[in-house]
Amino acid sequence: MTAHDPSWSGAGPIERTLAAVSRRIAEAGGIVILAMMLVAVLDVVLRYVFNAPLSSSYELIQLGMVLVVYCGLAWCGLTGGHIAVNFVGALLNRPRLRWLNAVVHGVGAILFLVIAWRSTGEAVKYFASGETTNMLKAPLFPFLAAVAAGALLYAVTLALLSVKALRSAGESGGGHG
Amino acid sequence: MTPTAIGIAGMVALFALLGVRMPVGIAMLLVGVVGFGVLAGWAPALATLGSMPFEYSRSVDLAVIPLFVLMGNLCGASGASRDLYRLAYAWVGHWRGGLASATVVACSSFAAVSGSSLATAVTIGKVALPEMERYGYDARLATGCVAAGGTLGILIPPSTGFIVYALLTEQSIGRLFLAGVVPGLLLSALFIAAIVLITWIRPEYGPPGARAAWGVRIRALVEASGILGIAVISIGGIYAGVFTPTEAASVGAFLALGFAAWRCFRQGAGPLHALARLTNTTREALLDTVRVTAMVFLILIGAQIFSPFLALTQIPSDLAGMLQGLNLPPMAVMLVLLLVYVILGMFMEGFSMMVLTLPIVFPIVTQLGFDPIWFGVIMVIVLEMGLITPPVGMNVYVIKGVAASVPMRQIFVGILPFLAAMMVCVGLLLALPKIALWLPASMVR
Repeated sequence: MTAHDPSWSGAGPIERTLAAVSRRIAEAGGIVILAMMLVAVLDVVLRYVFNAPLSSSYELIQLGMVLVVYCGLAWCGLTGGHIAVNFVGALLNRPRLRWLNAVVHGVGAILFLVIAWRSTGEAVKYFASGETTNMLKAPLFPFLAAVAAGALLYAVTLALLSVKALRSAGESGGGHG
Repeated sequence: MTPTAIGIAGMVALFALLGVRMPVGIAMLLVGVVGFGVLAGWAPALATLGSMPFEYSRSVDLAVIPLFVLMGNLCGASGASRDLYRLAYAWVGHWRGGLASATVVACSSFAAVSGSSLATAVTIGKVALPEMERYGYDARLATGCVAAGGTLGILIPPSTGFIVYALLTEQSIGRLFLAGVVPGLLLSALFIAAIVLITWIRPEYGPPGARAAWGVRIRALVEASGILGIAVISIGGIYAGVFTPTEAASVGAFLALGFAAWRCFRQGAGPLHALARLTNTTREALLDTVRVTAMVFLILIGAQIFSPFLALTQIPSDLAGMLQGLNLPPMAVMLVLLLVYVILGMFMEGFSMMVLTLPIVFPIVTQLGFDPIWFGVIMVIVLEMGLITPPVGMNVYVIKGVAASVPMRQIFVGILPFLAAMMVCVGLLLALPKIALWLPASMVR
């Protein structure tokens, strides 16, 4: 699997911007992974060498994981990384059936829009109640906001893929009469 | 509509959505939420969509995935495959079919730092295939042993397959990892036995390589000791009870980063150049890691919403009860299940197969009295078979990418003896579950 979907080489400005943004966000997710790694290693060293474990390491890794997942969703979707099953082979690539592809991505976009909306609701709720983690007393709402933002970005990606599928259906359909 | 009818409708809808190539995770999420809404009301269904994506991602167990993927990526990028192949070649290359056996040994040792079959097949394949071509190896044997050897990637820990199984069935990641060690070594030995057998019947398929002097062998061992050390420390640490799997993955990734840095700086093109190289390698490794994590997470969260819906419909427990009512010998049920998996594996990608079937199969298997850890191992081997059987064998596709001149048909033919070896391995595990369960049972708590 390549990290760059070749179908993006002829992408328009919106697509290119989205690709650049989601790549940057995925890279930020990568830095969070490095941070999680360092926290866990530090915890091990402090525990075995200094007999003083890092009590907050568990929470730090938990919260880091939220960021990693939602930083990667859109980038993964844009580079064709999400697993789909291919029962019928190339049948669905036929120009006449490409609208199905558009619908599939469109429905996915709506679903993730709903997730973004509900997560925003949760974030507002957590903000109002001021809920925090047990040890670190870190507020939880920013992480719910990150979930909402990641889901929204993935919804936008899916919507774009849907439009793209529709457009290529129009082009190919027209081209082949 | 009765809950059962809703459940059946849900499953039909799921397969229709998968049929039109909706990503597996999205399809399960969608059907799960709608089904949940119909059965339990829309307010709780929508509330689940608000809380679950956050609660489920906030998991230390889930963090094992990116950290082990990063470790494998960094090891791969810093030339682990070359080191390991050289090592295996120096020790067994002079046997008949020795280069193919060396490929299997290299695959199983790379598997100890990588949790992915595809990565194992590609990285080792890139090094091993040109070498086997140079020595005039039969293309079927050469590609077959790389494709089969690659499957060791998810049997020998760390393993993304075991992590996903553990997360879906709430089993211990550490125990599953350890349960994969002995079967992984057994399967490697069976692969080598298959190679020895093939080249005994047809010596021209795999001429022996040059015999390496002892000095070369020791040097190869020293060169590869960095990678082997990373594997031993991280997996050994789980066994010895020093680390949790998350910590083992972090320490492994940290050591792999150090190793990559050492490799970059040793090339001697100046510290700035080395730093630029290291940054680049790390960035690519991280980007791929984030991508794989998102991919696995999407199907996991899909399952996390689909499984409770299916449980609400009572279908899994009804099915399990029905099977128990039939009073079939449990082993017969197991054999039928495995046969179904092998057939499904021909058409479906491994992860999605696991995620889609476990909500139904797992209750059946545990009610029949099978050990869930043991079943995890069997399941992973059967998934591996799916990776190399036609028409949809992912490993074969990626090997085709490396060995473009070999026709797909020939690769599939080359795989047959290794497939037979896998069946022998499954047979042995069915007869002697201890092969898998002995090591986790002896684990330090």
